[in-house]
Amino acid sequence: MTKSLLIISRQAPWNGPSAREALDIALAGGAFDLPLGMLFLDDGVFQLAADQQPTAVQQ
Amino acid sequence: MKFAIAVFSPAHAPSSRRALRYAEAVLAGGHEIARLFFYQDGVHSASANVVAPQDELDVAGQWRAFIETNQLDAVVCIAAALRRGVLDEAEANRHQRPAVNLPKPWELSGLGQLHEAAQVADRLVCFGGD
Repeated sequence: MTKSLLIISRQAPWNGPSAREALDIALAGGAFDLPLGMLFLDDGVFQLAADQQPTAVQQ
Repeated sequence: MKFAIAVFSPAHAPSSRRALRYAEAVLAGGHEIARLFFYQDGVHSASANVVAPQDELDVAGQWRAFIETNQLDAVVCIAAALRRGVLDEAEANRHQRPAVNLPKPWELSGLGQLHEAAQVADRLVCFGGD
């Protein structure tokens, strides 16, 4: 039986590579068709805001 | 029971030491470690260039000894490691960098290794990260 995984992401997208690297775990798991969940917690919710302009902070 | 252990913090963080003690306890309890996976700042726990002060624990050195003694599969995420300057010889050559700080027994590989370990093991236990 395939095991599922919950990825908890707690950092804002501008706060270093943490948010991006959590997302990379999900993307890698998606390539194997694994059942994944993402939980956006604490500052992680800032990843969900629309119309972000990362170039303004040189990202 | 089969464990996969993921480490997300550098050697100087308490969670890296706790992960090591946990891994030791797993083996001491007669269980098996399917794989150790080092991700995010955890790649620094694998660096051979960490020099701990004389009156502090050399956690990076202890990781290395633990892995060598027990011949464990210890994978460092290649993307996370390159970003943080943790390079094996092949990557140092490929990117023309002057230093190598990831000799054997560590292995650079991708996140697929984390997922594979999570599937093979009964438990994936994560340490550190923020």
